[in-house]
Parts: sequence; structure tokens; C-alpha cells
Amino acid sequence: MEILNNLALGLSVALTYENIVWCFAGTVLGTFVGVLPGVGPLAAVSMLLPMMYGLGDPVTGLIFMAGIYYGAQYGGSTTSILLKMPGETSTLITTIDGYAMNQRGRAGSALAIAAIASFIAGTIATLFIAMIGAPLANIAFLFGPPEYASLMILGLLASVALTQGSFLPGLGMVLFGILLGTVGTDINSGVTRFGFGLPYLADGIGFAVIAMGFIGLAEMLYSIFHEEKGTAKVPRFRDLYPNKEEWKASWPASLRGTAIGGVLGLLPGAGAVLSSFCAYIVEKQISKTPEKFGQGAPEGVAAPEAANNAGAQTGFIPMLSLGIPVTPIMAMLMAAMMINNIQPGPQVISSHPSLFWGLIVSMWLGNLMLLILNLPLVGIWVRALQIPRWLLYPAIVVFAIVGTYTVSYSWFDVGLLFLFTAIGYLFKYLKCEPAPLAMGLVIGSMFEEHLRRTLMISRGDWTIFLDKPISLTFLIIAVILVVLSIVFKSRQP
Amino acid sequence: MKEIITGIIFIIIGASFKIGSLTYMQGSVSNMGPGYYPGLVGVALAIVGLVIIIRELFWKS
Repeated sequence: MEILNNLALGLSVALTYENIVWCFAGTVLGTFVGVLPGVGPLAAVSMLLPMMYGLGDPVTGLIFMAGIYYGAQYGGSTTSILLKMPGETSTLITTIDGYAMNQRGRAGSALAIAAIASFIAGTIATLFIAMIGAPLANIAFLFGPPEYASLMILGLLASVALTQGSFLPGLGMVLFGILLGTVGTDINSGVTRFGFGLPYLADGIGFAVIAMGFIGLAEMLYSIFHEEKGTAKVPRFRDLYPNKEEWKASWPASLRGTAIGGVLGLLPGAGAVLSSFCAYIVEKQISKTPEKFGQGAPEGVAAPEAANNAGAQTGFIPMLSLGIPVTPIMAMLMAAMMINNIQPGPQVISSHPSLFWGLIVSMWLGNLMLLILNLPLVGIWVRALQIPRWLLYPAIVVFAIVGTYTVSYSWFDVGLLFLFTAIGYLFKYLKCEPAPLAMGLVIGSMFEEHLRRTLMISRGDWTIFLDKPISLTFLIIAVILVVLSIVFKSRQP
Repeated sequence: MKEIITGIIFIIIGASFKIGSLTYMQGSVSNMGPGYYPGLVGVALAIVGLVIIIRELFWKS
């Protein structure tokens, strides 16, 4: 019954006036960035990091940012179905059958199926997090420095191996992130590293500055020059409700999608994107009528939509209970926690129970809001696409500058913001996804800490990582994932 | 071509951090000084850059 008490605690946190408002704001903003092709949830969350300094209670900020993340999963599916234009990569696969349903005049039904499937997945995934989060944290208490160091290597390598894009540039980005993280005062010796005598750099480069420039503004700038244009047609809503046949096909598919997404979401790097692809493939394999896929099969909408939402939610588990972010966006949320002086790790659940349970319950609440809101408001979301870019982008830039300045009241940081925007754009142009940098930046200093301690315990013997069974297991999994990814990616054209 | 530029940039960044880290105490493996870890990661980044270039020049064709 402990779990009921915990959920009650979470409910009491999530249902405060302030948290409801921010949860709502997050889901709405998330839907909005999900609809816009140029700006993703990662960029949005990175731009909003400075808000974490001003929102008071850290749980409020986390609720807001989490809302942006799963709200974007909803929003992305809307444009996939209506315009065959995925707002997010995680809803790419939905374009196939979602758009086909739209062409058969079943757009309203496809949107409803996507929303309901996402809600089913969100509900089950929330319960799953509530059940598995605390036991997993208890296992993590058994980890010492070598286990943690190996787990971080696994997290970093897997996040590069499992995302799209080549392995080596991604790895380079992670290492670059770690290096940027070393700027500032070394905790062990008190020596300022790479400070160039500048007092601004003594505390290191602010995470928000790097994230906003390198990931947020650079991504936006890139999309200005490389954007596909879509013409939006608002559909009619005569058929918002799925008919009996569609409903019968889609609810078991939602459950299967939830299961696949829920499990894959736990893997580092997999998250929402891989989940939706796998769910679609499985659905097509087990279907009695695989020829219907691509022609507007409701299962082809329900399964991937359920999977990406479930994957987005269970991705929180390793971050909340182990202190290891599995995707760049989780790294951002972890940075948000660290900004509020909450050291991520297995102790978060016991030392900040209201934060953990409040966040979990708010995710379910947010999913409910999305279900109720999204269908009636779909016309507005589609119109959001028509907001002129010359209005939207300068507004975002001003927002970023103001956000950076108010964190530290230093124009030096604003200069750094522009510098990192330029570097981020350069890498984006060179086909290096900047996102993995966030992983390196967040994990880097923790990894250094655990690495130093491990080698102190072993008196400089590196084989300690292979002697400890748990650590060895993590490293073997990491090697397997890397080899698989290199073999698999080299076969693709 | 883009890959080669990427590789060169990685080597430059990695090497600068390695060279910069030499100005701090290195310490030993069992008792790392502040310069050890950035140097290690810098070398790793330079190696990644080098592999990207080699792969592009010799294995791609």
C-alpha cells in the first residue's frame, strides 16, 4: 500500500494551483514546439533552462519541462497526420498510416486514435515508473564508484550508438561536451582549469549558456536555412470518433506499443524515436492483414504513438532513480535539477520524495490535459504553422539573450551564447548532431569524480573495471551496442 | 569533405585541451591531479578526429 501513499503524496504536490498552471503551460508549449518542424523539445527545454533559477520550487520547473517533452510527442503527431510532415523524429513513422488515413477522409479519427493511444501509454507508463523507480534506486545504492563509472560509460556510448547519425561524430560531440565541462574550478584540488585568468570562468561555463547557444539557437538558425514548407489545411471534424472497426484494431495495438516503448525507453539513447519504429515493425509483423499497412491502418497510428509516449515517459526512470540521463533531453532535465542544488542519484527518491512523486503524478495529469485539449484545439495547432518565421525567430533570440543575462547579469555570458551558437551551427552544418554534447557536459564531471575515486581505490589499476562483475556487465553491454550500431549503420546506404 | 573538416576540428579541440592541461598538475593514475582527466579526454577526442579522417580517406572508397 506504500505505493498508494506515495501516489497520494504526488497528487498533493501536482494538484497545487501553481503546479497545475505550469504543467498546463508546459504541455501547451510542448504541443506548440511539437507542431513546429524547426524547433524541437530539446531546443525548447534548453532555451528555458534559465527559468529554473526563477521558478522557486524545483519540482515546478521540472513539471514544466517534462510537460514540454511529452507535449511535443503529441504535437508532432498532429502535423504527421495532417500534413505528412513530422514535427518530431519520433512521429516520423506515424506519417505513413496517419497521412493515409487522412487521405481516406479519416483524419479526425486518426488524430483521436493517436491522442487516445498516447494517453493509454502515458497512464500505464506513469504507473510503471511509480512501481519500478524506488526498487531500482535501491539496487543503485549497491553501486560503488567503479560500477557508476562503468554505467556512465554505458550511458554515454549507448546514447551515441542508438541514435541516428554516424557513431564517431556523435562520440566526438560527447567528448567535446566533457571537455567543456572541465572548464572551471576542479573540486578536488581547487585549481581553476582553462580559466584564462578570467573571473567569469572560475565557476565554469554555465550549462544554460552552452545548451541555449549550442543546441537551442543553433538548431533554430539551421532550420531557417533548411526548412521544408508545408501548406496547412485544417480538416473537418465530422469523423472525430473512431468507428467500431478502427477502435477494435487500435486498442490492442496501443497496449503492445506501450509495452515496447516502455521497455525501450529505459535503454540509453533509445527513447521515443527507436520505440516508435520498433512498435510499427512489430505491429506489421503480427498483423493478419499486413498489406493494409501504408494504406491507413489504424494500428499503424496507434502502436507507434503509444510507443513514443511510453518511451518518453520511462526514459525518466534512469534519470530519476540512478542519476544517469539516457537521452540529451534527460540530461537537460538533470541539469535543471542540479541548478536547484539537487544532486541526482538514487537518493533523490528518499531525500526529495515530493519532487519524485509530484513529477510522476503531474505527468499523468499532463497527459490527461493533452487528451482533453488537443482534439478540440487541433485547428489552432495547425494554424500555429502559419506564424511567420520573421516574427517567431527574432522573438526567440531576444528571449534567449534576456534569459542568459538574467541568470548571471553578465554580458560575458551573452557573448559566450553567441560564440556557442556559431560553433553549434558549424557542427550542424558539418552533419554533427550537437545534442550528444549535452550528455557529455552533464555526465562529464560526475564521471571524472567516480573515475578518480575508483582508481584511487584500486591504486591505479585499470583492471578494477573488469574485475567487478556489475561493472564488467555494463562494459560488455556497451561494447555490444557500439559494435551492433557500427555494423548496422554501415549497411545502410 | 565535411568529414575531414570535422576530423580536423576534433583534433584541434582535443590537442588544445591536452596542451592546456599540461600547465596543471598531472598527478598519477592512482592520485589524479587536475590536469590528468582533461588531458585524457582531449587525447581521446583527437583520436576520434583522426579515425574520422582515416576512414574518410582510405576506407570509404
